[in-house]
Amino acid sequence: MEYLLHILVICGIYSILTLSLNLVVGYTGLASLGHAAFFCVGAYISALLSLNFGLSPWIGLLLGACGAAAAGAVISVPSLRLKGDYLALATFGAGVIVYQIAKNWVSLTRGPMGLPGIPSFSIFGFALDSTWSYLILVAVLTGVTVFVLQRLVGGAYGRVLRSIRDDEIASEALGKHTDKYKLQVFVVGAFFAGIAGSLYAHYITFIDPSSFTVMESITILLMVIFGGMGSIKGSLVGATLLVIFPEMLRFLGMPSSIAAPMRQMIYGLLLVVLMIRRPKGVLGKYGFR
Amino acid sequence: MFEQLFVNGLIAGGIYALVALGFSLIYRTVKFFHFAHGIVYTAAAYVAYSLAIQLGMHFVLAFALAMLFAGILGVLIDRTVYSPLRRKNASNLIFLLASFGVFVFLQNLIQMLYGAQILSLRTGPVTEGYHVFSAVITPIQITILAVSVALMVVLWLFIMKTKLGKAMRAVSDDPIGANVVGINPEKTISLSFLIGSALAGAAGVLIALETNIEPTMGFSAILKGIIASIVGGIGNIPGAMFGGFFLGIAENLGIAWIPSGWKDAISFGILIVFLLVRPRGILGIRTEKEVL
Amino acid sequence: MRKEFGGIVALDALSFTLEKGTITGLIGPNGAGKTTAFNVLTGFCRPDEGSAHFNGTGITDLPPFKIARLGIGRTFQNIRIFPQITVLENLMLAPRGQKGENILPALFRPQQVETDEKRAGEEASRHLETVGLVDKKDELAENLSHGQRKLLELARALATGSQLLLLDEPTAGVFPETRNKILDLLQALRKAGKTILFIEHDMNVVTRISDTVIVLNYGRKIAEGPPEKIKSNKEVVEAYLGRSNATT
Repeated sequence: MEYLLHILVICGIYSILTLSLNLVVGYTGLASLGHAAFFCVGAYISALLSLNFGLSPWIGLLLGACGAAAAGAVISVPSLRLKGDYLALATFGAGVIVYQIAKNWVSLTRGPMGLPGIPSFSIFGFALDSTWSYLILVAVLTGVTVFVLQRLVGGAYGRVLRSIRDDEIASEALGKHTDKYKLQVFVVGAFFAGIAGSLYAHYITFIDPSSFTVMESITILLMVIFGGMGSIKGSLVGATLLVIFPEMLRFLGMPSSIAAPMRQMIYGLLLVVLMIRRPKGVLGKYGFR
Repeated sequence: MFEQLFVNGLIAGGIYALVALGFSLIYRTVKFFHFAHGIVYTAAAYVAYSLAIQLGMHFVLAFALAMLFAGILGVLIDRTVYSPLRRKNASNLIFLLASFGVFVFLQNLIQMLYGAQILSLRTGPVTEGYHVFSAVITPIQITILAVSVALMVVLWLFIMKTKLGKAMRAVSDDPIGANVVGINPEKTISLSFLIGSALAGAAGVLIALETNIEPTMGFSAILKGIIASIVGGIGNIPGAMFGGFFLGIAENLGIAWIPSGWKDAISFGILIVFLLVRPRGILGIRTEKEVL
Repeated sequence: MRKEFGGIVALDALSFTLEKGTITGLIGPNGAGKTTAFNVLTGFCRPDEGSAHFNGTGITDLPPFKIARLGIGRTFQNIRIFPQITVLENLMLAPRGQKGENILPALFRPQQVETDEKRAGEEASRHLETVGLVDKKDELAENLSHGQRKLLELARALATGSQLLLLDEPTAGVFPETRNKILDLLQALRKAGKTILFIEHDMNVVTRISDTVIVLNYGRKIAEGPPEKIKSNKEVVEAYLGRSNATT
């Protein structure tokens, strides 16, 4: 039972990641392949603030998200000049650079040794260190993410995003300041990825760079594509299915030396199959153009 | 010290140039980023290991067979994954994502088959190197450099002088026109995958003479290959060679000032700068892109 | 205005003035620079020399979205509609100054956004009625036929409320009844005080609705005047030598 709750917490964290990336990739059509960078920034800022300065994890959550948002603003710059596969390469590169910073700036991040002993959240003096309580926290924040996203994409704002996706030149010709929108979605997407990072750090209580590799970025992207580009429900479904599935491998009694590469293999295969057969994903409404 | 770093840079540069060459050759023909190029590099190293170490085959034969294997693997990837996408007129981004998928799939397949531990192609005693100025270069390193350059020269001659090579250039410049004069684009694409992948395979085996074989070795290699190609001018053959050597030397000289752990970040920084400022690279030509 | 692309002169000392409330046809052989002129006027291309002004405001160095906001609307040669959104939504993107398009109102003023949306939807439906596409309003734009797409793109440009419309081959490839619909629409716009500059290859269309015609060849203006004079202009005929007047 404890195990099931744990899985649900992970599903929640990845749901937030998937939703936040969907805003950038699915709705606005920007090929962002370095989303784990924002996850990483949020996690590290939040962890370091509570470890080194004794700040409450709630402050860490907020500042971590803001830090991630700032990174989002920086990484949005290539999207103003590059498109499609070139943008994918640039954002991929940004993801690698952030990972390398986490790994090499040892005096700040302790590099590959990671940061252990990260404190948990507490509310009114009660520490949220049982899985149950954490699940409620994650569920609430996932709900917030869905709520904010729906507000953005459901009306005129979302319509402009989709117009940028479909034809940026036509959108500009209609008077839309497309650069502004690109910056905004990157910042908002990064902000929520930063929230997920903080949640992750204070839950697992240990982080190291290996959780934030390019493979992680590709996994989140896979969740977006698989669940459905431009679909909020799709992101929730995609994240949940792709988190639960590898766990089922463990139930089939596979030793982890086989299960780990097997899981990645299936991700890789799934990505190929999706691209060939159904780029829109399970519940998606839009495909890459 | 600088001489040593420079020599190291040359060796690394030769490897990068081979990978970049194969990558650019393929890019010229299909116009998308074949990220999975990195995995044929890895596969060749493992095949060479199986043949030379596990089966005791003579190294030169193992090398040739590994190159061939890599070439065929590349063609296979094109036929099973890219060909269907071409029929659907997929965008470059979709090709790139599919290519990532292939890379991840095959890398983990290799890990399942051989395990994650480090393997080695090195046999025999460690030999004393030769002294060149104040640098040391071992016979193996000389071999790597010599073979890399030889392959590059052979490729250059092939592209420029032979009929097949000219056909490849024709298809990359103008696929429709090439079709009209009777050149089969699909065959040409397969050929470029065959040759390009064989070059990457050669690089994979050569590097395995110096360093370890592990499932993730192709990742760094393809990143360097892409960076070198873009810096030198994407799709440009001499550019790829230039880019490869440039990157290898820059990286290694850079160690003098910056700790080696930052190498990848620096390479990527260079890439992003080029993408934003001069996407056609140093030797690339400006393509007249129809905006409206 | 002068514009070169890597050695090829696309626009060569091109200069003209458009009068408010008129329809001007821009014609010339392929490659004469007509679309380049459009791109320069709408900010998608910077001229090497020269400047453009709209109602007294300099527009040469402005980005496309700012020029659009000043009141210049355009359509494109290869039709640029938004394929993966509905016909109605295509239209709803046109009106300027929609509060809901900004991030803060979207997040914090949902009620107002919803009211605005309803109003925008009604207005969009009205525009769709004008071009006869209202029964397709919930269709994805990619499912429309060529002629319907042309109408959609045109309706969308109208719905922006632009004072000046730059239309790139508005009747190309459409059936005669659609063409007539479009031409009637343009004439109604002129009556309402709008200014139109359109690129066209069909001389019948040009003669039918233009007040003035400008002829380009190799990036230079070789003639300008009322349609009748242009038709009999020797240089113009020579530029088109060998080309039959294609009627769709």
